[in-house]
Amino acid sequence: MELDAIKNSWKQENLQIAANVQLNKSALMEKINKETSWMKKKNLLVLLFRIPFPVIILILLFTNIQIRNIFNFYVGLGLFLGFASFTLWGLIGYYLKLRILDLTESYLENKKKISELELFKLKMTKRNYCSSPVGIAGIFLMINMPLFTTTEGAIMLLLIMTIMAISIFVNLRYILPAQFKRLNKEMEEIRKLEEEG
Amino acid sequence: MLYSFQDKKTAYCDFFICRVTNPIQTKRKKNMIKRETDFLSALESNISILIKIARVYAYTTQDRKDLVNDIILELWKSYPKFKGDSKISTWIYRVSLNVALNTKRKRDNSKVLFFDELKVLDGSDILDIPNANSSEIGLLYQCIELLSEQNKAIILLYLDDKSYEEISQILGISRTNVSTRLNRIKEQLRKQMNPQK
Repeated sequence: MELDAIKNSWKQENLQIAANVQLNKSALMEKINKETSWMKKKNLLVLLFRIPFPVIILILLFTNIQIRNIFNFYVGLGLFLGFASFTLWGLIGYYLKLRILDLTESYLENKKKISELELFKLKMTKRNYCSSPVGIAGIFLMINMPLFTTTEGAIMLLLIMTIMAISIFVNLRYILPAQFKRLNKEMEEIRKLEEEG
Repeated sequence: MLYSFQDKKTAYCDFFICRVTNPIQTKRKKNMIKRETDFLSALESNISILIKIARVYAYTTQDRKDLVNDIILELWKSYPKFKGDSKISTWIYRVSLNVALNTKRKRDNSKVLFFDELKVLDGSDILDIPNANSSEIGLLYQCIELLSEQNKAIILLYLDDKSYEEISQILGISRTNVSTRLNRIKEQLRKQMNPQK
């Protein structure tokens, strides 16, 4: 059976499908418009929730806090804001890059952009993991927790630090490198495809 | 100054008439209606592209419906970017293949299904692949399933009579690469479809 001979049957099937399928145009358009407007609202809500998250933490802190040590408070505030700005900068950068994606471009161009975007997100996650102790230390300093002066405080610190250390270790040692490896392999394949021919 | 109910009613009527007859609004609405009509007729005449991509890139009926859904949504979102510099079928292929190959889909049972608005006149399940034992098209689908994701795209485009130039534009690979790959794919399919030779 030759492929060129099948081509005719294939074209015939196209015509058959086109003749056999009818669109309920008004209902379809209504559904599409409903879905797109819902998606716009959903995306806005997600963005509104993700971007001001550090601000919510600060508001919660400021409404419940009694400043006992002014020096610790400002150092803590500086550390927390530094960490928050750092994570927000990455997040905004990610969303800006996401806007460049265009599904009307060629498949390979899109694949390349998506891989680069995933790589950027992974690097961002890695950076956030590494800098998260700074943010936590900032919160501790702001609320002036008696971490070293009481046994309860020391136990709490130990528990928080252990969980954080395990999470950072597992992510940096196993999860992220595996994803980096997969993405680098993908990028290599794209490069090869671009060079071919 | 006191307004009577009648005054208010007149004011509302004036406002409404002004809104209805506002030439900019009317023009915008007309453009929107034209855009919707053009999109729907382009979609209807090229529906076989979506059906075939769904058959080739998804393996269960539900996944195929989801894929058709996602493609329709992305086509509508990207439609303003279609400037008519290529054939509408080429553009539909480009977006559809990008959705099928480059995006990750999440199963969401609560999702609005656009697919429900596709009426199949003979009542058959249009997303089902024809039986391989009874038709050569079915056998071809079975063989295409064994190809790599990119090669599936190349053969689909070839079978739909796209030129090497168009295939190269849709996929973003060079013409030489298209030609080399296509020869290999044809050879592979020939062997699979005629194992005795």
